Amino acid sequence: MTHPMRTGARLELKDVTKTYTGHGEDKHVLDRINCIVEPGEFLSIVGPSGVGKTTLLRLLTGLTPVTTGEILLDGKPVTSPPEDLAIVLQEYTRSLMPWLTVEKNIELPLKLKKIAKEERRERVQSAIIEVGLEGNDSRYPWQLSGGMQQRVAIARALASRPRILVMDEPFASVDAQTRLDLEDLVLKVRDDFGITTLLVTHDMDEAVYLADRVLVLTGKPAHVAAEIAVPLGYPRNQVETRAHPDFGHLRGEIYQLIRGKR
Amino acid sequence: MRFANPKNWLWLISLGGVVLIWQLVSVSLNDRPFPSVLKISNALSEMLQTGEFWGDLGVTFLIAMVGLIIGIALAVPLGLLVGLSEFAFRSTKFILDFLKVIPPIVVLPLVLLMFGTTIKFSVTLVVFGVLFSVIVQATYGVRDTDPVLLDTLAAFNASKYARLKYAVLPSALPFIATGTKIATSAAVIVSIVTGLVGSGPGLGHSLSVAQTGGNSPNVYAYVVVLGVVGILVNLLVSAMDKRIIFWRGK
Amino acid sequence: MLALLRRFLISSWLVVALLLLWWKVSANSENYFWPPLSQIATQFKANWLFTNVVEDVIPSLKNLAIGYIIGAPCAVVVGAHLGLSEIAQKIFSPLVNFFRSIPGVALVPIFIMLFGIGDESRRVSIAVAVFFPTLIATVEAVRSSDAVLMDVSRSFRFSAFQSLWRVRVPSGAPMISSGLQVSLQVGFIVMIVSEMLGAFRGLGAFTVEAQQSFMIIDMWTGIIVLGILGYIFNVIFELVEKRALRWYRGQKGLTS
Repeated sequence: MTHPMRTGARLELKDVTKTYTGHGEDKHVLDRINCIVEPGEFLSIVGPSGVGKTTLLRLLTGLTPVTTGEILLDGKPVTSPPEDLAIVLQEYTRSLMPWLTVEKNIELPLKLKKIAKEERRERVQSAIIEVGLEGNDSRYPWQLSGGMQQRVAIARALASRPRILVMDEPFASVDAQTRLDLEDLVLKVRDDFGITTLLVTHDMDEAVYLADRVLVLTGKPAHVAAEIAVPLGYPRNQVETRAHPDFGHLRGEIYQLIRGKR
Repeated sequence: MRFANPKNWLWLISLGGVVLIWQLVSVSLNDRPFPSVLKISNALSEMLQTGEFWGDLGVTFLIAMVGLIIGIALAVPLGLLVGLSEFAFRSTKFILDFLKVIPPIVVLPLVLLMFGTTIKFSVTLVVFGVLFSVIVQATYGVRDTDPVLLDTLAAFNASKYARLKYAVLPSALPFIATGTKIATSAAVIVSIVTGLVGSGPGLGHSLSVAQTGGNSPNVYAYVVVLGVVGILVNLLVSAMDKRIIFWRGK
Repeated sequence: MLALLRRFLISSWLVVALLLLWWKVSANSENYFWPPLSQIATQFKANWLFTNVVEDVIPSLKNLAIGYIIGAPCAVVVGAHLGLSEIAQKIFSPLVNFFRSIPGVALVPIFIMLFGIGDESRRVSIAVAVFFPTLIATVEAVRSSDAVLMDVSRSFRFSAFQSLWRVRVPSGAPMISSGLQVSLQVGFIVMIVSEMLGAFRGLGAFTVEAQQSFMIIDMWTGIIVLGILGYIFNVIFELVEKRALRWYRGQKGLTS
């Protein structure tokens, strides 16, 4: 299987601030977030629950507008979901169309972009193979396990050939074994396509295991507590990588940051 | 606060639009078959000053209410009985499903023949329109009883009466309430239909008289009244709905 | 196999028993309103298998079909767009609420006044009466679209039109379908009423004419045909819905 090599996109956050207004009191959620994600890089964003991780994700995908500051994708300001970006959300039961088969779910965005039928079929098939869903083309999402459904969501994201993939707690609702499989799948996808990958998670182990760099958010309003490089080599391995002394150190460091600020 | 917001007054646009278009059509077609807004509102205000109108309105509601009460009083015990027995439920399922979807208008000619254009005729049809949907709701309510609760009560050696009181009835009541809600709007509509089609007493009959007499301003005035009656019934029903939801939430 | 037979027997014995009872009790009936069932059956065969079908059944059904096919899809299209815009809802919802509160049957006199007592007035009455239940259901269905699905449509840059027809409407299909079912029932009622209020043919006209000329047995056959038709329409609708919304049942079966 050969994949057309894609280059990842570069993402830049400049003094991004978000304040929700309404019902009298303003809620200041994010405070001057600065960050640069290089093409092809894997960045994890961690923080205690409720800190504003999902808000940050919504901002940088263009689903919600920033209050002040700027988000640039390859130098262009993000005001609505950009062409080169694809999203995988936590709620797989709600993010897939239950009335469409696996194949049609993956195909729908391509169809609406008026991509020719031949190419559509080719892209759908290669995405299905990439995520290991062979033989499930004509089943419906609700006939699949949670992990399989999330694979469909990933395949759908990949079929649109994004240059940056953004995932919001994608493995939070699947069982432990499936979670490890999906983590390795995401690493493989990044390797195969070289796309920039952002992962929002509350799981510190997962953040470290997958990423080149971890962005730690803490506080109210949330700000960047630290940007921690992960010097673990590739390929990563669920047993060896996690047993590596550096893995433990990094994990401990992040834990301190998150707990210490409470 | 609510009234200060200009957005809450936007509907005046559509109301004004409809009145304006109506008036334009009326003028351009020389008043026929669309009488002018003024004529309709005059007809309406004259109508509202007659005792006859208020009598009709009262009779229409009375028929609906009496039919509703009789219908529910018959339906609830029947529904509970049928729901309690698997055999009874399965035996009657087809008949109940069949009768539930038969609109009362179908049996109207027979009932009209039996009772003539009397209140008895109208009430009987309302009962027919109410009965089966409430029976079906009640059976579903009984069958929805939590089996764990029943087991618990059985473990305490609770009497049959106690099981009925503490498990079956609380489960069935919200369903019966939902059935009553559906039945309330049905009852008012059937009450109007009996007047319109069967010349039974009430608003429906007056509408039918206005139409056959070619009194078009009155026809529209009655339709406006029926719309308002419908809105009032919908408000009543949604108030019931809120109660039911509140109750289930507990 | 045996279990299937048992189930069939349990669900049908009462129907058979009641019919037999009716047959027996009414056999020598002198009661004016309740003629012997045997006579009704004989007359039923003479009236409806299949002499009057072309004359009375087909025109009725044709009116219902035309009215429904015009009214219901229009309601889905209008409702879908209305559901999208909060401003449009603010402007139109009180008006829509008013019109849907007028019982469908009360519209019949108006359209008789406007179009006379021909088929046009019946079809228009049916179309308008059918319109509102579906409209209300569609607005509600589109309004209550799942927020996650909406995020997905936006993230894939679906246009407003695409996300309406490819995401919101299909995901609201179960709710829209229950509106369509109510509409069909309302349409059936308006069909009968429109024929009872001054028509020369059609099932409603036949039944009411029989009643007015005291042809009790004929009236009974009319009532039975109407009852069976009403039931069959509902069954057919539910079968179609069951197939079309297989995903909905499947999904519910697994998640609940």
